[in-house]
Order: sequence, then C-alpha cells, then structure tokens
Amino acid sequence: MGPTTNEAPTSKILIVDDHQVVLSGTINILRQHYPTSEILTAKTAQEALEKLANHHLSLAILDLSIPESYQQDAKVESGIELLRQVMKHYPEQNIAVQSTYIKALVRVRSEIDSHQGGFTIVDKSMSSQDIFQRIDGALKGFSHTRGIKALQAGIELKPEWLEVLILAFHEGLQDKAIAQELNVQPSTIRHYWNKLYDVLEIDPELEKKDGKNLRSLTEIRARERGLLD
Amino acid sequence: MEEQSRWKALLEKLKTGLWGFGIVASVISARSLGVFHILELMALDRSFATQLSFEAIAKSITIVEIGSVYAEGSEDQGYTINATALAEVLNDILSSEPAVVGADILSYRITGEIQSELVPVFEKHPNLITVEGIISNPTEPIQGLSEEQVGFNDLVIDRDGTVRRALLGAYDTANQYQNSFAIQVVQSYFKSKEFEGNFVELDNGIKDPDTMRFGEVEIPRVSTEYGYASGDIFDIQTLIDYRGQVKPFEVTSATDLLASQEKQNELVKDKVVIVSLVGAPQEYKTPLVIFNRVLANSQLVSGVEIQAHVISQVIKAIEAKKSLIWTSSSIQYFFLIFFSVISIAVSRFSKDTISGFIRLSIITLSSILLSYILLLQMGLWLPLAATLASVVANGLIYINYAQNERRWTKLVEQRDLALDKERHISEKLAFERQKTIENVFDSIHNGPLQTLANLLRLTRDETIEIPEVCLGLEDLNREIRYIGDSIKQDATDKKDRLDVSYAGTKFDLDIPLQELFQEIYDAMLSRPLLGFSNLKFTIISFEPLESEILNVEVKRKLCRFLEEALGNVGKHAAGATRLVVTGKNKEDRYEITVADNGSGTHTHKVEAGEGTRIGKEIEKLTRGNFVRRPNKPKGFFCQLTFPISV
Repeated sequence: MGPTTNEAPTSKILIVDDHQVVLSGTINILRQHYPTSEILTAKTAQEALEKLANHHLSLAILDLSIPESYQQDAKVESGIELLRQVMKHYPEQNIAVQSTYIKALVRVRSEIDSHQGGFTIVDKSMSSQDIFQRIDGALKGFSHTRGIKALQAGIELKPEWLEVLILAFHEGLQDKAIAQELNVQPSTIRHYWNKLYDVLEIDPELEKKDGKNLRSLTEIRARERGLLD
Repeated sequence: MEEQSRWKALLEKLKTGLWGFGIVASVISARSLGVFHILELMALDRSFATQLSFEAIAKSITIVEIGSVYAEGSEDQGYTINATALAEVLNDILSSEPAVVGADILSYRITGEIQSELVPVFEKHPNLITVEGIISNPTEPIQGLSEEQVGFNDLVIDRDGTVRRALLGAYDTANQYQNSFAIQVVQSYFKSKEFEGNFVELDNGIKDPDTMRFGEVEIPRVSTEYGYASGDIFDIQTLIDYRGQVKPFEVTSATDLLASQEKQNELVKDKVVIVSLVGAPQEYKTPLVIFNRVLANSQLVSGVEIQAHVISQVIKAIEAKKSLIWTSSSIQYFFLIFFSVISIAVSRFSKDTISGFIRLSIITLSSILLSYILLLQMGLWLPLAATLASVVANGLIYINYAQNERRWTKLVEQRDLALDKERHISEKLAFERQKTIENVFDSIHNGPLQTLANLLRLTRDETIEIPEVCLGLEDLNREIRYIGDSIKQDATDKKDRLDVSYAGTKFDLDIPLQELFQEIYDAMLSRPLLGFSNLKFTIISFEPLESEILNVEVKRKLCRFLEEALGNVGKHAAGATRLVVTGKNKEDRYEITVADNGSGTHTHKVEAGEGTRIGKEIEKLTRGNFVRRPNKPKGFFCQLTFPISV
C-alpha cells in the first residue's frame, strides 16, 4: 500500500491506550505516515469519550484493556463498554481496535458488523507495516474483522447484506431503489456494500487500481461461491 | 373451609365471653343473697353525702325547739314540759297561721293538766299533730284526740345503725293500722292548701296498691330490690331522700321565735312547724354523717330532724314534682349487665394492658357518674356496688386474658415465622439442587456427549485415523474434567456463569443476551463437528433484546437452547453449506431461528432426544413457542418465539 500523503491536513486521530510504551510506538507510526494529522491521546475510557465528544475525529484507535477512569484497574470490560458507546453514539466513526485480547470482540461482533464506519482489528503482536495497513484501512472506511470470525462458519453475513445482493443482482435495482425497498438511508446501503466487499475478500482500493468494476466483481464472486443462486 | 373456621372463631369468642356471663350471674346471685347490701348502702350514703351543691334549702319546714325557759328537768334525767306551758307555746305558734304544726313530743314528757290545758288546743286546731310510739317504745298518745292528729314517730334503723328508711304506715301492737307522724303532717299540710286547684288527699297506690299515694304521687315502697333482706322489710317503708345541706331546715328556739313577731311571720306563716323538746337525744346516724363529721362536727342527729327530712321529701315530691327514690329490677339488671358487657368488650379487645386498665377506669367512673346523676336527678337507685364488682372482675379477668392471648399470638407468630423461614430455606435448597443438576446435565449434554457422538460417528464411518481418535478422546477428557472442576468452583463462587466445557471457559451471564449468543455461536462453530465442516455461508445476526423476563435462569436456558440447536446442526447436518442463525425482534416477541441445508435426516432423532427436553423447558420458562421441522428444500429448521413483555 505504501506511505500516503493525501490526508487532509486537519485530520485528527485519537489513540486510546493506558501503556505509555504502546502509545509512543503507535504515535511514531502515525507521525511517520500522516505527518500533518493532529494526534490526540487518552488513557482512560472516560477521557476517550470526552475527546470524542469535543473533536471531529477521522479515526479512533482503541485498546481493549483500559481503566474506566483514573485510579482504576485496566479491564477488558471497560474497553468493550467504550467500544459499545462509540459504536452507538458515533455510528460512522472509523475505528481501529488495537489489542492483545481481540477474542473478546466476539461478544460485540453483531454491533461491529452493523457499524457503518471503518472497522479494523489490529493485534499488538503484528509488525509495524501490518499495523499501519490495518489502521489505514480503518481510516479509509473499510472493514477487516476476519480475526474474530468463528472457525468453521464460512463467510458470515448479516441477513440485510444478502438482501442487498439479491435486490441488486436478481432485481437489478440501483442503490437508491434498494434503500427505499429496505427502508434505510442510501449511506447504509453503501456501508452494506463495503461489508460485502469484506466478506467476499474484495479489496476495493486494489481492484480499482486494476481497473475493475467493483459491482460486477462482487456479483461474479458471489455466484462463484454459491452466495447467489 | 373458610366459613367453617369463621364459625369456629365465633364459637371460640362466645366461649370466652361465657366466663364473663358466669361472673355476671355470680354477682347477681350473690346480690340476691345480700352480699352487696352493705356496700350498696355505703354507695347510697356517699351519693347523699355529696349532693350538697344540687339542693336548695327547704324553706317550708321550721323546727322549733322548746328550751329551758319552758321545760323542766335536766340533761341527765331528760326534760319534761308542763301542759300549760306547751299549750301556751303552741297557741302562740298557731296564732301566726302555720300550715301545720307537728309536736314531736311523746305524752310521757308532758306533765300537768293535759286534758284541760292541752286537748282544747288540739280540738281547736285540727292542723296540730302529735306523736305516739308503737314499735320499739310503745307510748299512748294524748287521750281524746282525733285519729288524724296522731302519728307514730318510730324510726327504722338499719343494721349498721344508720337511718335510711322511713316507716310511713304500720300496725301497732293491737294490730291497728297507724299512719306515721310524717304522713299525718303531710296529710294535714295539704288539707290547708290547694295544689294545682285540688286538695291533695292520701289514698292507696294504683301501680302498687299496698303503698301510699298523695294525688298523683305514689310513694315507692322499699323492697328486696334495694338489697334489703326480706325479713327487714315490713309495713310501708320508703328510702329517705336526705337533703344534702349541713343545716337543711330552719331551726329556732321557742323563746327566740315567740319574742319576735317578724320571725314568726317569716318562719311560721304557711309553713310546716315541727315542735320538739330540748334535750331530745341526738342518737341517730344518717348518710350525711360522713359529711357532717367534716363540716359540723356533729355525727348524730335527733329523731325530729329525720322526721323533717321525711316530711320535706314527700311535700317536695308533690309540690316540686321531685322524684322520690325508686328503682326497677329490670333497669337494675340492664345497668349491671350493660356495664359488664362493655367492660368485657373493651378489656377483651384492649391492645395492651395499660390501655386495658385505662379503659376499665373510664368505664368504672362513668358507671359511678351515671348512677349518681340518675339518683339525684331522677331518684333512680341502681345497684352500683354489684355493678362495680362485676365490671372490675370482668375487666381484670379479660385484661389478663387478652394479655395472655397477645402473648400466645406473638409466640405462634414467631413459631410460624421460624417455620416459614425453614420451609423457605429448604425449598430454596431443593430448587438450587435441581438447578445445579440441570446445569450439569446441560453442560454434559451439550459438551462431552456431543464430542463423543461426533467421535463415534466418525469411527463408525471409518473416516478417522487413530491419532485423530486420540485427539478427540483428549478433548473429551479435558471437557469432562472441566465440568467437574467448574462444579467445585461454582460451589464457592457465587457468580452466575454458563459452563462451556468445549471452549474450556465460562460465560458471564450478566452481559447482554445477544452478546452471550454471539459467544456461544462462536464457541460452537469452533468445534470440530461434522455439520460445520462444509459451511460456506452463515447468515448471522443477533438483535439486542431488552426484556424484564430475562433473569439469569432464563438467560442460561436460552443459551443452552441455542447451544443445543447449533449442536444438532453440528451433529446431524452433514454436508450443510449454508447456516442461518438469527435472533430478531418481531413486534413484542423475540424469535430465535437456527436453520441449515444439510442432509436433514435427523428429525426423528431430535424429537426423541435431549433437544426436546430443553425446547419444552424453554417453552415453559418463557411462555413461548418452539417449532422444529424439515427445512426446504433440505435441511432442518428450528425456531423459538417468546413474548418480550410479561
């Protein structure tokens, strides 16, 4: 993917982590790739929520094992609760979860799958390059949640996503018509498409570069894999 | 049943009430034996003694005492009076036109020429009355007087020496009926003056023909109803309604009176004048004694004073329509029983001992007050002593009873409470035990048994190598051990968790249900089960569920249900490529669906298997509906729908 310099100079990124070492490491990566971005930090769930309320953020990088507020112990439960709050109140917020306990995300997977902003999962043990790629994906609004999928479930999708596929390729409807049919906002349909790209393992950036039509590619991939009859 | 127990309670109340009636009956029978007689009389005395403020002085009677100027003799030997002197005094008094003059002087106290000096005075004045003695000290009256001018002045003395009754008429030793001095005076008094246009005459009673009647006023006779023994009652007696004043009558000496014309006009004209001789013994006790003892320092009164009281009460009864002292046995019984019943009731139902005593005191006081007012205002005499005895006895007994009953009730309540607590604990223990057994059974069924079934199937199909069997057996070993460990841990750890032996972990039942579902789904789909091996797509979604019916046990069972449904897919849905696992809000219901497109041959097995049990349990627990059927075109479909709100 390589370094990117086309970020808006006013973009703000929040990093939530209670370990100063991790915090510094992540800040280094971000400074390197997004030199113009403003980087905010928070060490507790409470502080993170305050920052979220006061700033328009391009991306929030969250740790799961954090304290609820100062003087309290770091708990995975606090991080999960923070994630729930963020997804509930800022449904289009791009989020990257950076943690060593990514298995805990299973519980909120339904919400993650419904989340309309970008959502990627970063294991702290990954290489810096991989970490950057996941963070960058989230910043661009993509999803990468395969790390928390059940082992044998095959491709997991929400019932609504399947309906989008069927309405688009069986009925031949445009996004606007689909939105009307499903009684949701057009932006939600775009979000569903992003989710479908994810489950069908289509990288929109890469495929676009290769000059491919994303919708056509999606239909071909869905039929290939038996998602569409 | 309830009707019966109410009857029983009523009967019980009546039974306890019976003691009270026993006491009342005892008091009444004791009273008829005269047990309360003395006490009743004391109560009566007390009432008379304290009536002071209610009475105006009876101005119609003047007592004239003939002193030593006219009398002869000494205090030791007794005084006598010469007939001439007496005639002079009487003539002087009579000249001032009194209504009637009563000379309460027995004939043996008169010396000299009675026939020539005194009798003419009597003959001239028919309103001049004198006395005789017929009972204790028979004394002939002055000879030659008309019958209407003579009356006996004998007094009836009660056993305690007090004069309470007046003898109005009696038979003398010759068995001749005689009127008393007081009656003769009253009779003569009303001959001299009209009352309401009529002359009031003495006649026999109408209601009681044996008594006397002046016009409309019948004089009530003393009977056993007043507590006197029948042997004490003879001839015509009535209770004396003593005037309550210290000096109820005008008393003057003959010398003073005759010296002043003004005094004569004031004290004699149109009045009842009773003449007595100096030195008349002050030897009679009256109910006023107690009071007089304090105020006048004179305990005893003379007979003439008592006569004045009797005369005064009869005249007052006619002129002022003041009731004479009367009674009625039915009112007496009503009074006694009424206050006894009230006493029983308030004592029996008193909240505590002190309030019981306070109420009893109030009842006692009000019965005293009522009887006092009735006596003084209406002349109605009521058996206060017997009533008080009954009221107090009943009150004390029932206060004690009520206290015992309260103590007993409290003990019974404490015992019931303890028993309830014990029962509650044992029920809770039984429930906990049942729950634990079910939990362990569910854990085994959805964990090791599934693993074992899978292993068996693979072995039968001969598609498994020995090392894989070993791995499977190791899994099984681990799962069973995990269940054992977690049971031990649960005994000490109070947190509510769901054992998931195949994942070697526990899920916290406090987190939201959809998250628990997600975790179970994840753990189940991670198991090496046949039905999951070919899955390509899973349509998965658990919508959040907010419901008050979701307590920990319901959540636990719902989790077991999902575990079971997914387990069945894993066990039986060979070759399934698509799986639907959804939890959706459908209006006021929540719908959990698990559907596959596998071989779908496990219908009959499910119906006979453990799935049916959990399905039925969860149906009952959530009051929901459990459906399982083959899926179209193939596979299996099961769905639980349950109401979210109660």
